[in-house]
Amino acid sequence: MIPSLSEITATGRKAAKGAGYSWGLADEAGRATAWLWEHGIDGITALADVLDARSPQTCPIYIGTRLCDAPPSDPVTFENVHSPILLLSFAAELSKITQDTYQLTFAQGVFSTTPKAMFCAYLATNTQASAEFSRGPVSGEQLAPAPRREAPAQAWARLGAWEHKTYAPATEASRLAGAGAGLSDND
Amino acid sequence: MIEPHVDKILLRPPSQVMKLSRMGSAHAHRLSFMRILMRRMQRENWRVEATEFEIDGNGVGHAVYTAHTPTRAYSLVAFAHDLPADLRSDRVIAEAWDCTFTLFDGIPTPKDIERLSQNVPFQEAGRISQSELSLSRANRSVRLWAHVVDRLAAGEQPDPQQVSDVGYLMRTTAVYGSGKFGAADRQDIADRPEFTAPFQSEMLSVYLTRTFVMDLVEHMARAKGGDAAVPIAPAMRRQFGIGNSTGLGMAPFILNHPILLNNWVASKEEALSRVRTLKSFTPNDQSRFGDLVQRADLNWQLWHSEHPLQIIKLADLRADLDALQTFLSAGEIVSWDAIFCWAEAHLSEEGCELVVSLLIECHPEFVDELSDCMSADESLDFRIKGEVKSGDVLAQIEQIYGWAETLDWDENNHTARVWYVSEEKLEPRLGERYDEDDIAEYEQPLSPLRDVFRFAQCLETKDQNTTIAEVLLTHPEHRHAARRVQIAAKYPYAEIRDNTICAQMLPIDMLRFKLSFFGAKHFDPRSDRWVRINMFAGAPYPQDLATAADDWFFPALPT
Repeated sequence: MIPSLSEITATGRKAAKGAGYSWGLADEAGRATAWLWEHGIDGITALADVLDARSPQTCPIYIGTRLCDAPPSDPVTFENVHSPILLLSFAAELSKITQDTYQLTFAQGVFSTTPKAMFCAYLATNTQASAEFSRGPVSGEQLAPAPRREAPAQAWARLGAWEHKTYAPATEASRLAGAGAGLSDND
Repeated sequence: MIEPHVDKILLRPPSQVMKLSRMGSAHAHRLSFMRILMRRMQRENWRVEATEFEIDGNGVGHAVYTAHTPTRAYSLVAFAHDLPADLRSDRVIAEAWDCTFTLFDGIPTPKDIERLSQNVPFQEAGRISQSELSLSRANRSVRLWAHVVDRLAAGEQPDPQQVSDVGYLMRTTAVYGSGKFGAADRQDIADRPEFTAPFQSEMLSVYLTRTFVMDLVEHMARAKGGDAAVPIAPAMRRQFGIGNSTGLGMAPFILNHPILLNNWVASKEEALSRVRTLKSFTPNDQSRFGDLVQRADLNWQLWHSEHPLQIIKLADLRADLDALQTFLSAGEIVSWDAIFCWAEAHLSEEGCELVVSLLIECHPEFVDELSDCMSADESLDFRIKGEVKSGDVLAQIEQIYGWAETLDWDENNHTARVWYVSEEKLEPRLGERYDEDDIAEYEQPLSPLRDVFRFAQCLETKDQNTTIAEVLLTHPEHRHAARRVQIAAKYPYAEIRDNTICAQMLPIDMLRFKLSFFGAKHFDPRSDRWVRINMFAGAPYPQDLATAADDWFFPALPT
């Protein structure tokens, strides 16, 4: 399965909703997942891990959204963040909002973002680590958009299971009343 | 670009234009997407050729039609099937079709065709790739297909009355693009000039489908009649459009893309305003407009519907056309705006919106450039401005949604409906909140009015200096409504000024509105959530592109 970016956005969004996030936060989840994937990073597994963890306090979607809503002026640290790599997408947004440069560090991962680009000094995809945002100089290599590629099957299926919770069960009544043409199609 | 001047007539307000009943009375116009595509094809001298037509006497096989632009090629790959009648359905839940299609980016190799043949016929159950721009299907019109094949096979032309009663030989249903089922993402092609305007690849796919269908019916007639068979006479051939049958999926689209919606409507309203502002109006203009009204009348005569609501609207339009023709022949009219003002005062919404389309039609020199303003990069306005104060947001809500502040949300009538997606092929559906158990659990966020009022209720309990960021920290459930208000405050036509979940809401109003922007005609509701239309009827075929005028939408007056 080689997904398009719009499929990743849609699946990430619906999966987050299925896992109990509000629609507005689910929009953030879908967007962050596709954005990482577009830049060569496995946002799909990252999101699947976050949704399975079911821990709002350590969720990078909540944390990243909060940061973008109210950009911090001082360095800020979050403990035990699940899939902290998802914060990278929000760091990039933060740079666009403030027109400033940010550093995101967690465990071995070191990233920086500018209003126009994103750089990686050390790539790490820890499942859980403390993460720090600070303003700082750019370091590392620029992350370029990556070509389409196979999605990690197991994580994609886990997102699919959450996504499925947003769909109403098929019933005969729904089939007839919910969308019907009312008249014959065979004419 | 026309210079703005001080006495430019203002754009019509969203409180008028964005009401569902008016949106559901919209007609196609010069800025409709198929018109934009046709103009480019003609301007750039696109060339179309059928490079493969491997279809047997039973109508099974494949064909490739390639459109050559000055710099690229796009190919419709069509698969024709022998579908048993009992499987024929226009619903999303169908699993087989008479024909299936994809628009390939370039010229497909035999290996591409082989790959596509294993996926495209299965539609949603198959996968396409970044090399494909759309995925679609079509079913024969049972009323017309056999009649046309039989007549042509016998060396006779089809009955003109039957042709005009139906208008097409095949109906498309879903035409998927923008990354669906693995297709190229919108961002992959958005920087190509030919795809800058919305839905251009989908429109190209449908245009080529029409050409293929006409070739297919003649091929089937030859298979049946041999040497006795004749092709369709050119004038009648031109009348055939390609049908489309559209369900609820279009309604969520215009709710989920508020900035795009704004840009479509703002462009059309700007076009109207430019025409209304023009000072010069000559007797020749009056006669030119009169001719157009007569052609719209001919179009009315080809527009059929059995749906009670549309029967009433067509009767209104009949009366409107008569009144308009009387008005035009009664004496000298002073300006384009005088026509508009008279229409507003005297015609139904159906008739008034037709006049809007006709006025726009008269001035390509001021209108056509607006086609460059109709797309949107919606990611640019995704971020919520968290620093905005609650009091300021409440003021914005009052300004945009204030018209509904007297609604009593405890009355079931105002929240009667639930938009949801069925697990059955992910078909979008509409349910009854108070009659169907647990359906609200699956509700999609397609009720901006109610959700914004819930958000407002929350804001009213806060200090008015509290920032939105602080409110959303403890109330993430209002996040989508907060985003919506900020978008609607920036883009005047982003929000429908109606309640999209009330008991009286008609989804067909949203469907027709979107279809009018596609450039469809002969809107024929089949229920309150289903519409059939005709596309490209009257349009020149590829071989006539070079010589035809951009004047095909309304039938020509008899000479």
